[in-house]
Amino acid sequence: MPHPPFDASRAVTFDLAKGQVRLDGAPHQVLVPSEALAKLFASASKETRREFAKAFGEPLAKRLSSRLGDPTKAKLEAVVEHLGGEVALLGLGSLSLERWGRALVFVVDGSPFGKDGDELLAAILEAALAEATGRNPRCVVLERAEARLRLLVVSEASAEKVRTWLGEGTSFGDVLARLNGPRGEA
Amino acid sequence: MSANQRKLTILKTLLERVQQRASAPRTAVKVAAVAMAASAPAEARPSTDDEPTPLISASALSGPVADSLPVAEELTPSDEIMIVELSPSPGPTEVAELEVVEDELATEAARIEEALSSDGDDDEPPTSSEERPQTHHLEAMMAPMELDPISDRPTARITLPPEADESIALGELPKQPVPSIEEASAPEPEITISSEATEITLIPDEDELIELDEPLPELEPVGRVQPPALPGAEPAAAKEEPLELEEVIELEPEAELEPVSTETPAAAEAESVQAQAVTTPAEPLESKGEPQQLVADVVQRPASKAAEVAAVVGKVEPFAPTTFGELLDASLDL
Repeated sequence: MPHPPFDASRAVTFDLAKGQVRLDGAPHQVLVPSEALAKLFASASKETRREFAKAFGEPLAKRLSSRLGDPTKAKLEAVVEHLGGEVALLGLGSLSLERWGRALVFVVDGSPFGKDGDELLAAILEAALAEATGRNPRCVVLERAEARLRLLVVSEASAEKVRTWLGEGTSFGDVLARLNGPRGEA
Repeated sequence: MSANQRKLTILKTLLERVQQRASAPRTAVKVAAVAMAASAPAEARPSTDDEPTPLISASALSGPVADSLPVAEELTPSDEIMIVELSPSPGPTEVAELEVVEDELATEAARIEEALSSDGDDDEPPTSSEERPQTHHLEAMMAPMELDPISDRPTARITLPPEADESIALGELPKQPVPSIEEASAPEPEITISSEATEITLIPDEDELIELDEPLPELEPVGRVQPPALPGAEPAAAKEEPLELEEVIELEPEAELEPVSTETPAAAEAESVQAQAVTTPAEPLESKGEPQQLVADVVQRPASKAAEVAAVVGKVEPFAPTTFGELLDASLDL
């Protein structure tokens, strides 16, 4: 069943008379310099970061669900198209998906925050997925190569192992190979 | 008063006068003493014995002038009127003749009285003869009461009887007992005021009830008085009407909104930002059922440019998810 194309017509509205920006009818949107936002996020506590990212990701997931329905039942192409469209509307970069065996990896190109904003993007996607699918995923920065960011979506337990492996200097290929290998190897 | 009664009264009057004439020496002395004490002038005295001297002329009493005189009305039984007759005392022969006449009159009066009593005249007043005061000779001369055709006032017309022309001796009017009016002691009417009467409440008008009994209704609605609106003033709510979003959207494309400052002309022209979807079909790698080299399947948005397929060394189980949920769950199970 073909999915509806992502239509961003009139998704963002600038009301210059009132000095307001609306996103899909939702008022009080603010254009904030990405650098200032990244510094603010970096200086906040862990709990504050989670709440901040949640405030970003939950509206995004609601808009996704309103357009696509249940994302878990949608095709990969449809989810990438609509979720990537919402991320692009927020100015957070270009989203794509990589499937490494059984591992799900989101790729974000052109993030405005640079390297300092990788954690922020990971937290926003994490909150959006949780809101849209009802699962409890964790997004771990798998690789940062210039303007490309790879975020691995795993469980909380796997996220801790991945961080450990990455901390040990394991390449993201080896991490993915370990994850897709026999249970004993992971 | 019947004719017989009137005759009886006249006879009694004549009898009394005869008796008075019989006792003339005592009366004459009394009258003479009064006359000397009064020192009446000679003109006032009666000129002759044949001509009586009434206080009021008979013609005057019988004429039309007498009709206007309130004679009988003003003479009440309580008034003491002394009528003085200045006449010489009778002689012994005259006294004897008078006694004979007196006897005859008394006999005649007795006869008439008997006749009246036997007849049982209905006109007899209910009062007994003892209670009834003695009829005065002047009263006998009084005609029955007649209504004055002029004034409609009861007026007494006194007419001297012809037989008592010169022999009438006027005396003192007897004092008749003042009739005492005994009002019947009728029981005083009991005035009972029923409770219903006391509970009657006059309700003049509903409007007054509102004003008197009820507190001033809040005009409101009816009655509350609102301050007059200033001319040209509009309700505050009208000023606070929110603008419709569609109106804002429709106004901006018309480019009627001029840039207010030179710093943001581009922003004023930028009406809306619309993401344009660029279709760039990607060629997903087919997953194989056999373990193979770990190669990433790349799913990109149509707008993104083709990504370089990364490949790492490794073996994976064949996996071909059809939905995002399958892939998500598989990744969470790693």
